[in-house]
Amino acid sequence: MRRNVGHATRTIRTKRLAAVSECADWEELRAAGSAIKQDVMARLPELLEQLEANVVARGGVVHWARDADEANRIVTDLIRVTGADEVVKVKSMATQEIGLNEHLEAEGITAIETDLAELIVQLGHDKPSHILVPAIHRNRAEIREIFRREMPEAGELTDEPRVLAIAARAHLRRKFLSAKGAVSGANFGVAETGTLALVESEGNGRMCLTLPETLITVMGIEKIVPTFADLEVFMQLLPRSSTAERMNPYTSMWTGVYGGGGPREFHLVLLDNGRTTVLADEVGRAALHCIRCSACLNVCSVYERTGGHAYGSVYPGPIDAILSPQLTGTHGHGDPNATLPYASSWCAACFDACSVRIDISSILVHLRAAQVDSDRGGLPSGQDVAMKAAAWAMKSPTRFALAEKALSAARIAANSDQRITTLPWPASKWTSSRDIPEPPKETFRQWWTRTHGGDR
Amino acid sequence: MTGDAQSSSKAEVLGRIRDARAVGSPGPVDVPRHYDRQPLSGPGDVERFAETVDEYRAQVFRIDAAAVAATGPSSVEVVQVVPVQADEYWYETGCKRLPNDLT
Repeated sequence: MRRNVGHATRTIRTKRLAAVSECADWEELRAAGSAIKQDVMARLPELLEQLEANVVARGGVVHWARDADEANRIVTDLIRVTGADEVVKVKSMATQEIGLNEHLEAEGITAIETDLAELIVQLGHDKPSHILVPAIHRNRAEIREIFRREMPEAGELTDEPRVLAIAARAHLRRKFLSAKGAVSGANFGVAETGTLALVESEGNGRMCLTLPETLITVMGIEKIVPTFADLEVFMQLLPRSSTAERMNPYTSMWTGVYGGGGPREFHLVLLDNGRTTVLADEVGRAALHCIRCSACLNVCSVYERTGGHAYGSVYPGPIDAILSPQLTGTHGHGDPNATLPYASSWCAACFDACSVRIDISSILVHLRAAQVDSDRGGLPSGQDVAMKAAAWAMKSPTRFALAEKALSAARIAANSDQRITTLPWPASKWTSSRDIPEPPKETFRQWWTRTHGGDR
Repeated sequence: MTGDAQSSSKAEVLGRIRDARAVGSPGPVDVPRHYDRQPLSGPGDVERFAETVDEYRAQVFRIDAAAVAATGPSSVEVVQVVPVQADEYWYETGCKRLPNDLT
């Protein structure tokens, strides 16, 4: 997994730098993108109502969802009206966030992911590990095995990308042509015109947006932009930052419904699901500026080594470290979200890469401080106790020397690979998920005394 | 969802936003538009455009003005096609049926 992720992120990173360096006005575009998002946050209610009015005026229906449950209920009811028990889907982070596929499955409706990487993840009964490249942790041989197992109609397959893509295309084409309904996300919603915009690379989105009779779009309330002209900024920032392309292959825009083609019904679900809580945090609200380009993931030294699954939530990488804890809140030491602000080396490469200049490092500091403050007064955690013990030992040279000698004794727990993989409780809480290198035979002080005779 | 429930959800979401904005909201922001807003302004841009569309396998023909009339309609036939299984209403708009070649 680490090899797959490392190779993929290095490749995208290099291409992105080349794509960005072509734009002499890149920094000006980033500044404009950031300002547009700040402006959106400042005028959000007015812009949302303007978007609603324009969508309705062009034959669409707008629904408001306070949380994931409400959004899932709305979408399920709309699909039921079509009479279908199957729906095609365009890749959408918002619907992953609310667990729509799982909800639909429980209601007897099959959601078919049509983005190739999402299809690989779905057929592999897996979880996405990257915002843009959800199957980044899979190599070609693994994908061939998944297709062989889950798509027997595809026949004999090699691990050649073209062969795999053709198999997926044939599988999906049947689904596109029979689907009564489609569910999509949206990259942007234009308040001025009621237009929704979706960027993608494969054309599967275009199929979902045009062929089925009913189109349901789930969009976070922060995805709005005031005017059509604002798209000129994001349509330059997003492709170069995400896929390192000058322009993305498919940009779909739709405004309500038309008599001459495309869906006959269009429903827009505006999703809150914690976004207003994020908005209420004066520092943390900048996380809502994110346009999901994933540039921060591809430059992150932590993400490159852990992959996306380690974050344990829908939005992996640096943006996840600031977004998920705010969207869902943190509930004590045991909550995986509580550790996310610590999943950073603080190198700030994410800020340099961010297409809308989100200062992720500063928000990390802010979230860590808030968490420390909220933990005050309660029972100390194991980490608190360990830190206090370390501080006590390090305050005294005598105690520190004793501690060093005691650590040397841990050599007996090391295996033949010079790693300590198992320790008794409470140290087992560490070794259950991480190895410890075998301590050296002598401490630094012992080495210094031996080689320098105790001279300072 | 009933209309009442939807009105209530809308009111609640908008109320939450207004409450949230009360916390240190900067107010409307002027967007600096110092980026290049006239990207097709020089001869280099035409080269760039041709290069970009070529990346997406478009055929690019470079011709002079006098040859436009002779080249345009006669060399390109625009045909709208849809797969054979598509809804009938597509054919009513004049689309031709595409053989079901999935490869």
